Amino acid sequence: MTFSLWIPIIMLVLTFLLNIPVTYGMLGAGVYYLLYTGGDIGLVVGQTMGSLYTGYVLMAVPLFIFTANVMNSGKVTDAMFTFSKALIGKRKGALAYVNVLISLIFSGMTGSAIADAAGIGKMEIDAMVNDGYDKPFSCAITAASATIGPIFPPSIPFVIYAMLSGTSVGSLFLGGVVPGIMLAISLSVYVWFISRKRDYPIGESFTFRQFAKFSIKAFPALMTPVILLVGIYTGVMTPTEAGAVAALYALIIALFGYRILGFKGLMRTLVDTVVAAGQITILTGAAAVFTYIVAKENIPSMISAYILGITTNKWVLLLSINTLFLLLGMFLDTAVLQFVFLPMVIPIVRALGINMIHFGVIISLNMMIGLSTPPFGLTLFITAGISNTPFVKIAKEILPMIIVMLALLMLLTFVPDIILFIPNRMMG
Amino acid sequence: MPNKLTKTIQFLERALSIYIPIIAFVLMFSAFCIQIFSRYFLSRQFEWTYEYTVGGFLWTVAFGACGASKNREHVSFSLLYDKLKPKGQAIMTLAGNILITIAFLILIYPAYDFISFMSIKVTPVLRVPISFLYAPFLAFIIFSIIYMLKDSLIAVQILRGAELPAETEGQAS
Repeated sequence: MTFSLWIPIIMLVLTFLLNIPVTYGMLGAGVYYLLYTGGDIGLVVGQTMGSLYTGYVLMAVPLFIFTANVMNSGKVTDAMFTFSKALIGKRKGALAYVNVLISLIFSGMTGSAIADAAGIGKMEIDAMVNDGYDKPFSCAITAASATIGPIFPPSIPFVIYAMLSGTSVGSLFLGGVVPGIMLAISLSVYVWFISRKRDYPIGESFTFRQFAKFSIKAFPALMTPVILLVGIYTGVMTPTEAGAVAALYALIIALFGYRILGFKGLMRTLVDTVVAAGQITILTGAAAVFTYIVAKENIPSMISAYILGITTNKWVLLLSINTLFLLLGMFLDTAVLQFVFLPMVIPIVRALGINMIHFGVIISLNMMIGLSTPPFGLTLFITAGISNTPFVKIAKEILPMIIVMLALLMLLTFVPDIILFIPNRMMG
Repeated sequence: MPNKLTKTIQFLERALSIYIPIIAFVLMFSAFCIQIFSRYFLSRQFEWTYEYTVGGFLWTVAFGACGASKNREHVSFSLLYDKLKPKGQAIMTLAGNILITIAFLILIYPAYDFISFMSIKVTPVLRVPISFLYAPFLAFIIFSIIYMLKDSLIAVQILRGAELPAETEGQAS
């Protein structure tokens, strides 16, 4: 083993130990590696900017973030909330169902779990607490349902996975439709069970006239995912173009339909968009540097040879990767899993002939479950922060929901057709 | 005079981390809209729009990343760090910043050299040098160095036991 092999590993460990931003750590690893091996350090720029220059699909990231920021404003979320309440109606635990339903609706616009938990989360938790639900459960269901965000299309993690693996982002989006809906249904089944057990409040009843009124109000926003998905399904637009159309549509309805954006609001939305886009996308570029040195040192091949020496059974491998990522997801940020560990397992998955769309969807669901698993679950931190609820109480409350999500993950892992049915039919 | 200098620096900071990426994003977004509109409604394919989208995207990302550096919004693993006391955090900040600042300082000249070299390549339609598209990366590196130095100074002050104003505390931790 040469010392050059240790440079990326040591840098990675130091990045974690010293709280260094992952982007900096990866770029720094590139510099020290090239300095030691006598390579051209300018390659760091070539890899970072070159991967972005050729990464057409990545252009969807700022567009999705912009759409999410526009749609995450009070009036749109209010319209979604009243529409969902009217749709669920007079049921025991109605607001908990509403929470899950809103996450599914919003996932069609935002593509991010964080946007869901942080954006509409506060409104959901406040409404549930005011209605008599306990705070930890309200936070836990908000955090768990936020997981749907990046599974139902559009999805920023799918775009990044497509970039890392060379898989069609359109197929990944289509592959996420059924799992996204199944995740919402699974959580709703849990809500049904727990609402009966704890005797949670019954929802309001609405007349048909009220329901129609709320539906009309919500209709423009509900059309955003429809436009996006129809554009991709029919092949009229690429997913990136669909992202631009959805962003334009969101802007038009926010300006002229809901009248929620003035000049100041638009500027704030743009500032939030470019900073978030810079933060996420530069990480993709820095990951290209890290992937370059890792590949140059044959690390993926070594890991691949080692793992394939233990097993060549794809189901055992999928189970092992799932377990490894779930364990890592308990302690690491999703970005670290996606940019550091995922590029290392992709060659192994490909070598065993596992369908890359299937793998993309299950590994994304796996990483999103990681967002709600203690001790490091970002959506748990967010919901604890916005509601002033002790983290430990939410962590305890979310455990059964994690079991529900894990059961779904296993089902999707071992029955790939659930994911592949739509992409195979639509994309051939 | 120092007041004027501070104002100029603040304006430059805002221009690089806010105004430029916003203009780049609007350019990228508009080019996308023109591209889609012309293809489906005018049955015409403009080739230049693609280059505007790519250029706008690269500038949005690199200058937007400057904004993320300024706001300390880059993703990091803080599980261990959060458990430490302020002095322990300051030591970690200092160690991490030294490690990365040295790497980024080493990177500046080769990055400049690489970007200058890329001026021999141009985009196919608008003939824009690739160096122009890659140049914001250098701004991102310099921006990041400045903020790491700023945070390191705060960390040193914490280690010396100085009382810091509330708004600077989070920058070192």
